[in-house]
Amino acid sequence: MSEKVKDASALKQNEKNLGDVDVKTKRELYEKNQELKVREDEIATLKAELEFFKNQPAVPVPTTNAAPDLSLVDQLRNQVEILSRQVMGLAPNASKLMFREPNVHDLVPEGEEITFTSRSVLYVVASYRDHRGIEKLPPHKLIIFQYAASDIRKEGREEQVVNFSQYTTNLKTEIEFLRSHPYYGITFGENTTEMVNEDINESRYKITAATQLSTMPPEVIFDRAKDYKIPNFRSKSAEQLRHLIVSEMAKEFKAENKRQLDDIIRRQALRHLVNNDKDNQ
Amino acid sequence: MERDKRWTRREMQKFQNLGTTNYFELDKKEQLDLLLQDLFISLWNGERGEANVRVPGASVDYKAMTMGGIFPLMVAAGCANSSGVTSATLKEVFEALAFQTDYKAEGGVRFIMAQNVLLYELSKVWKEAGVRYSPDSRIGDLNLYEYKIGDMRFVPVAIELFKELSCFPADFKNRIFVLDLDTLTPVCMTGYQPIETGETNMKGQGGSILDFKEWWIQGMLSLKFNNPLSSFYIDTTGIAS
Repeated sequence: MSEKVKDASALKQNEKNLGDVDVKTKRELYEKNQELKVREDEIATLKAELEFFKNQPAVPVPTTNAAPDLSLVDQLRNQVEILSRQVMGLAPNASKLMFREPNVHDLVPEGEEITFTSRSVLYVVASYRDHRGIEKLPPHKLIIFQYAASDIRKEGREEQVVNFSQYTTNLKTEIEFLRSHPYYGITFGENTTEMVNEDINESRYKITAATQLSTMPPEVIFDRAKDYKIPNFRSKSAEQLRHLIVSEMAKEFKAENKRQLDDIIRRQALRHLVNNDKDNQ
Repeated sequence: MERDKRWTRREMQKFQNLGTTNYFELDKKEQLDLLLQDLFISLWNGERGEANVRVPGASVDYKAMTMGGIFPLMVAAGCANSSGVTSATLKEVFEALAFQTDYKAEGGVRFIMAQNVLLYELSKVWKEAGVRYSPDSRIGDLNLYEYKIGDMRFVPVAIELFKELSCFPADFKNRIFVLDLDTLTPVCMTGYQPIETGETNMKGQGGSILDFKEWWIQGMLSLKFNNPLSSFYIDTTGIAS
């Protein structure tokens, strides 16, 4: 008897549970339906929008300035092309040597312009080759020192007209290029007084020396410094040594030139020697 | 400047008896060539001044006047120039200097003087990029015999002696000169000729008692450079090896 009662209560409990499940399912189904309704509304709205845009007349897409950085990309592409043309060996074949246009970032603050002075009536600073064989071009254009002034110097009965040319720049890039140029301090410099007093006849030998030194690797520069017995050369950089060695090498070139000119004079004297020898025979 | 050669009668007779060459004529020509070479070096690179010359065996010096050459005068005058110019910038530098030193009338000619390699490089700068050949082309001529730039004219003149190290310093082989020859006047003392030759009498001729004949050639030259500023020079790097 008691077993029958137990079975009946269990059955009741099962029915109750089944009723709860049914309610839950119904609620979920209702929610799904609601969601579906929202989606359908959304789809209908999008369809309506699509139809609206489909019915619009075609408008051409603007090609210029489509992207804000497009001009910058073009500019960079041009610069890459220019630089690739300037690569050693290709440059002579280029139709025209092109330089980078300066921009505001290249400017030095106002009032900090630098004036470089040269002893020629006109001087053009072009490119040079560094010790790696890389050609260094002026950053923006050929740098041309224009005539500035003349002075008359008297030495005994000799009178000499001395000419000066100058170049003023407010571009950082040009200042750096000129300061690192192998002829800086030889054919041109920032110190006007120093350049005015520079012996122009000496500087022609210094130019030859500087040209050779600019293409020499640092280890050769140190060897040279050792040969010329430059004091404390080990504690100096290759760049510092280049400037110190220039004067020593220039002396050698000057001596070589003098030797060649003396040969012409000596030939006359040797002529007499030949004659004397013949007489002795 | 002087060159001479002394021939004793015995030497001359010896060569005449052998009689197979024109040795005397060749010897004279050699002396002339050497003198012209000395004049040429002085014309380009002479240092103006006075030199002491001591004849070997003599006890005193004698004074010799030396002429100022084209290049030292250009340097002293501070002529327009550019240094360290490479192939890449040769054209631009040349054009910039040419226009800045254009003091001549329209169509005025200036002369470009350098060794052949540099002149060829210069002509290539303008010509190479534009030269095209057809299948039946047999000659590739990359030379230019005159450059017309603006209203200026330039004529290249090759000077191969610039690369001769026994005559000129090493930097001459890398140098391009552009000269306005109208401003350059070679001069010598009035009454002298720039080049004179002659020979002395042998013994018995014209009362001479000398038993030799001396053949001599002498040159006297100097330079007036009126306006060095219409000329310019370019020192190149890495073009001529």
